[in-house]
Amino acid sequence: MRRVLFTILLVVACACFGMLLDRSGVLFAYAADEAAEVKPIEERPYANPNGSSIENGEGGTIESGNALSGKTQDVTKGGAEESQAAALLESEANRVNTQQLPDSSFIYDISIVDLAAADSYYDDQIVQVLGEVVGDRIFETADLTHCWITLDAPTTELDEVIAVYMTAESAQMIDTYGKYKTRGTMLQVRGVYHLACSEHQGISDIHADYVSVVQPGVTMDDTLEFASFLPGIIVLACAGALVLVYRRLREKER
Amino acid sequence: MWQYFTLKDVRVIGHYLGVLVMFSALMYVLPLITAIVFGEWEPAARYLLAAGISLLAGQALRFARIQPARLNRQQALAVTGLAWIVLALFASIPLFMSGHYQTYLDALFDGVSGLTTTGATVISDLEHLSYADNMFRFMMHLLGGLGLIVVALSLGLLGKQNGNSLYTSEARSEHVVPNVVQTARLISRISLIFILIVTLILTFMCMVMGMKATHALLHAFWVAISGFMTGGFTPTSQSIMYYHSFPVEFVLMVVMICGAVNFALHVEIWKGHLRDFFRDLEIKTMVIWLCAMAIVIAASLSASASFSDLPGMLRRGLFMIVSAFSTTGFMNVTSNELVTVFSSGAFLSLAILMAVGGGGGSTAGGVKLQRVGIIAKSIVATIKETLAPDSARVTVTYTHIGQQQLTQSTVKEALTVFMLFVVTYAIGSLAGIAYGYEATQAIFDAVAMASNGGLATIVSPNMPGGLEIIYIFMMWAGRLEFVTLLALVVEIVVSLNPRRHRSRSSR
Repeated sequence: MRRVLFTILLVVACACFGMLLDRSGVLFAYAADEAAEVKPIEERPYANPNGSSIENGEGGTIESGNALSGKTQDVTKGGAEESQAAALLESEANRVNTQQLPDSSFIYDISIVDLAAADSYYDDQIVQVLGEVVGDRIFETADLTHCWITLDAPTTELDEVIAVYMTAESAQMIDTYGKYKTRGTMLQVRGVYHLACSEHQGISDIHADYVSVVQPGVTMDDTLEFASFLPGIIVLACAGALVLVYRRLREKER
Repeated sequence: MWQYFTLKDVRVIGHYLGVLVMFSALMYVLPLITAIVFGEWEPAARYLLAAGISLLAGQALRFARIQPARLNRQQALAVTGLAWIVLALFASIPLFMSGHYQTYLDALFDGVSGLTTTGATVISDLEHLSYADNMFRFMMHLLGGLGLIVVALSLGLLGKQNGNSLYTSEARSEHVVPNVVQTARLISRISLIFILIVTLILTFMCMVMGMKATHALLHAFWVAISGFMTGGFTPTSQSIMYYHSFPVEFVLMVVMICGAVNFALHVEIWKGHLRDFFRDLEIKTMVIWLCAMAIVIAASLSASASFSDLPGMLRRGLFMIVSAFSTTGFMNVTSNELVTVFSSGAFLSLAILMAVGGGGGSTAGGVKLQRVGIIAKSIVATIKETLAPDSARVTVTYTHIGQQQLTQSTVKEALTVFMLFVVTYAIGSLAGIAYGYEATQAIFDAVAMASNGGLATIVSPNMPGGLEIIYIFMMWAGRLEFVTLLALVVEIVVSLNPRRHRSRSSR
């Protein structure tokens, strides 16, 4: 008995130690350092070269299949701005490489339902999805810079979800997590989809590069109405009456 | 000469079914309390009504026979066989009223899946299910995993004189202690202690991951029940992948293996007889079987680019192997990955693991390791007899809760159940193929249903109704290990045969 208890305590201690190791990122090399070094939006090829993030609070979607490179704002005011624009045009990053081979840096505006049934076609591609945040925010490592959230497809017909790996800062935009009688924040997430992510030991996920809130969450009331309990009370009363009748009959038979 | 039911038998069976239906109202107590605590008033009203319906219907059935006599073997068979489907019919009522099921058949599928601890689900919008409804799903796992008869016996509902016949009808062969009622109570106690310890560990882990305390406690409790009962239901669509935590997966692997071990062997461990535990035929078969399948699946996974790295293969592959072998049905990969990323070899190897299943006398399903071990021993005995001189008498012994001798009746029983499982897997596979699904997926899901494994790729809210009905029968048959159900079906058919009645009246 003592040996058994000792073994159980040892297993519990190992589990807790493993938990702490895992939270510190020692157990698995999640490449947390690489994930933390997500490029600022202005350095990404498809971003707005003026550096401001694209707020999209009205649920508008970016056109399907269009790379975002080249969305520039009109620069019309002042000579300084003209020279800045000219400098941008002449800069190294804006040069066209005629020897460049075609690649698949493309954004797929796709539904979570389609992504849940995706094959290797979408693997390592930039995708954009719209979904409701449900469940919890799960932190993976002790540094708390990144977390997991779950996006639910905005349709009740097919129950599909996708795991999204994002920065804790992005997750702070979420005001409500969906659950019973609560619709969570609707998020538009743009990032790289992995069919079997090598950084996270093979799960299907999206590494979010850009997150925006489309619609805040809503909590619905579940009001207490005594009338809804009446059918149950009546049926229970009938069952109770039947029990009494049964007992009477059984005593008579004895 | 086939046995048939008389009207007196039907009345006795009806009475005891009524007792079980009334007792099943206990399943609604914890969900009702959960609903009240969390202010979920619509589910609260629904579970109050469901409890009332169960009590009313159960009491009405008891009127079939006011003073029932002791159950004979055929009556016990019928009560055990019918109890699972009858209780599932009542359990489906609050599920269907929740609005998360498209049809009552879908709710019945989940009711049967919950009670038989299969774990496959056709629920819609699981992420927005109330805490009360989730609690009810796991109460079904708890009741079904322990065994309806076991729980009823431990509460003294069915009378001490009926214990043995009912216990063996529920496909339980071992008496952990000589007395059946004490065995039932011991099984319940071991299970509840395990669930409590695992709940505490997982609650701590979930809170460290950032979940709120109440959410962490509920998730831990539900997943602990599902893991030890080798059920497979989870509170989210992502199954165990939701927690993104290797320590959680590790704890659950230990829990699933414990759930797949014979309860009698648990008692041996508690008593400190570790040598007897490791010498047991089931444990030896389990170790050899798991090592062999792990090598096969590792080799198969290494062929795919996605899981060729060691950490990924160990984490995802090992967890899926343990989940399939214990017939739990937990997943730390998506269903899409099972079909798309896993090689067909790894995919079908998981099906074979489910097909064989866990230990006898545990909460696991499948053919059971004990039978596989007995069949293997029988092959060894046959070879020995072939090589031995005619005058020699060959005896083969094995260790399974004591020293046992391999007899013809033991081998016959093992082979019969093995063949019945194989035939059911084949019928289910053909049904899936007939409905237009891919052959590998049809085979995988058929095995998952009959072995109560629960790892399913076809099962969804939109699956055909006919296939759903077939799968319901397969889950039901697999839980009872076929013999009880087949015997019941034969007796019902014979009882309804008009020729038998005509021949009796003409005499």
